[in-house]
Amino acid sequence: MSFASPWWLLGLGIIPVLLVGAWLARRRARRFALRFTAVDSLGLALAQVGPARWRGRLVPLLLVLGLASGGVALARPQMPHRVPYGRASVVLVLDHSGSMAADDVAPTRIAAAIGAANTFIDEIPANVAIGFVGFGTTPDAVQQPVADHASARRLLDAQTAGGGTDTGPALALALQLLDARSAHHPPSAIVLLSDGAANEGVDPVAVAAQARAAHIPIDTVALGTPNGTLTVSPFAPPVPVPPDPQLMAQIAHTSGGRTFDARTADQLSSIYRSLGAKLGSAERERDLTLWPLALAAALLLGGLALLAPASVPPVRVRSASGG
Amino acid sequence: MASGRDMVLSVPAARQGPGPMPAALVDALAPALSRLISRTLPGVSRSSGVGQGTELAQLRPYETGDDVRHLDASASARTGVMHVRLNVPERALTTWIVLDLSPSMAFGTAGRLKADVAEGVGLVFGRLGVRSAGSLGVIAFGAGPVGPGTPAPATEPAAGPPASQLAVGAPALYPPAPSDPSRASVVAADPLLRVLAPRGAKPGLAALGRLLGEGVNPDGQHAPGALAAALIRLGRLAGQPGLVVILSDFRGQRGWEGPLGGLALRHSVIAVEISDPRERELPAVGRLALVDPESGRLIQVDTSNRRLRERFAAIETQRRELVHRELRRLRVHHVSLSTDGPWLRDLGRGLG
Repeated sequence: MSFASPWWLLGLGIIPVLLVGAWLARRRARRFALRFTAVDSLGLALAQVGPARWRGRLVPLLLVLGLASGGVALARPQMPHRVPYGRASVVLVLDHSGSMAADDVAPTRIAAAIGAANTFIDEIPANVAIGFVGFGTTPDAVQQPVADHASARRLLDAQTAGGGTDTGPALALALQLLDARSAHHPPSAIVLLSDGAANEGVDPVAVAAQARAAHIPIDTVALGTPNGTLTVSPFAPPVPVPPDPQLMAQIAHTSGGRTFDARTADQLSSIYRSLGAKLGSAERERDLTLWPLALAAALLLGGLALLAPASVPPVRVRSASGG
Repeated sequence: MASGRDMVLSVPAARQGPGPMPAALVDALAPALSRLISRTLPGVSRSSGVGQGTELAQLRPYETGDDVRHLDASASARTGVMHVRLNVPERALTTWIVLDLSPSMAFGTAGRLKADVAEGVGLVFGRLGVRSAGSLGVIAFGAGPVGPGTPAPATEPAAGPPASQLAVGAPALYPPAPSDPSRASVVAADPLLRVLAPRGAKPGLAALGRLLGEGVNPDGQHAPGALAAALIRLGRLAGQPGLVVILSDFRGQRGWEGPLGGLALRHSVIAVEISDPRERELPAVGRLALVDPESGRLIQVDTSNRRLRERFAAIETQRRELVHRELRRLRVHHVSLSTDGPWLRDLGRGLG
């Protein structure tokens, strides 16, 4: 909770001034009382009816509270909250190279990645477009960022492990999908899910530098554990396929994103969850002025309505003062 | 006043005067008044006009135009000159006006002040009273020993005779207030009165006019027993049966029933009660701070409270009913006038 124009809060100081003024006015009214000859009967009636205390106190209370809310409204209170981007885009870049078939993450790295990516898509608000690039030796499954999340989901679910790991061109393609060259591309992000160890093609760090220039962060998720092995054939010993977290960290650092070291599917899901919340929305200050303003209007109007007599018959009262 | 103290009167700022008083209309009230008076004067069935009495006033030589029936045989025979015998008229009527000059009379929100109406009614009865060799006396009351600046509590117990227990509103309407012994002794002192001795025709009218022109007592004078004191004084002063006209608002006065009952046995008494519409009903004009001109009691009310207004009207109606009932019980002719109406016509209706 904060105030856009906190100096207006000083205006609340007028309320004690008003209260003192009302007290003085009441004293003054006592000094300039009207002459009336039936005061005894009126006093008796007042004692029998009882003074109209609730109205006499309610009206000033309403007016003072109304003024207080008016002062608060002028100070424009604000509350931070997350606003989803109007037209943001996210491209999931999934490594489906042969090393992703390693089963150090249950059931396999790729199955865990697909499951978690689905969770990620679930987290992303519906108005954020999702694209997809699946790559092995080449980026072979490509989906433009579209608001229809089902198309990216279909491609994602169809991925199977196989081939090399050519991260650079896949990231370049993702940048191209996000229209990175245009200066007015929507807020975008790339999520790279890979076990690292790029072994072919363009240097992914160079692509990450381009992404930084286009203000597109690449969040990287290094999959797998250092002792992950891949059984190529039943006759050969298992090939060790450790992930390359250094490369992934470098990509993320260069592009301005964050890197995650997910070793289990559970951690993967939680990473995606935090990514999903961050990518699709931004923190904004919501203006809360309307509420105290409406409250002030209601209180002031109510107070004034109670202040006015219900119906004043047209009566001619002339003060007749003797001496 | 014999004591040397006298009322200091002032003309209210909002004084309007009694308004037009057509002579024809005033004269037209005479028959009705005569009918009222004739009940207490000797010779009930006879005319109330001034006639010949039996007490010798003068023996003088006959002049042309004298009534031959008044020739005095003995005097004429002794002197050899025709003499007529003139007797003192027996039915010279003395009209006493008991005039309320209390500060509460300087109040009026409609056409004029209550004091203005009282002034008009006083002049009417003055004119009617000095006709036919009548004389006119005035007893004004309304000043109390409580001076301005020391307003007494409004609900102070009435001073005076035990008859004050019958006072309007005293025990029945108003709750007894905590009594202040020091102040009670002050109130018990004799209220200030101003007495104009009965005088005939022009001098009497002139004295009445002067008194009415002086105004009323200034605020802060509170004398709940003043009316009673004035009536008691009148009972001592008025020897012959006559007409007593009380001009008052009967407000804040206590203990007047006993003295008035005594007066009504001898005299024809007309009680003219003068009120203001705002004393009967309050308009809804929001919050008001009100002060009683006599007692100085201050009160703050919210007149937009409908229940309060209704309760006030009920209490005032009850109070006026009580006054009316007392006057009827004492067989006093009661005329009620308001500051917002044509008071002269209302007076004629009230007398008729």
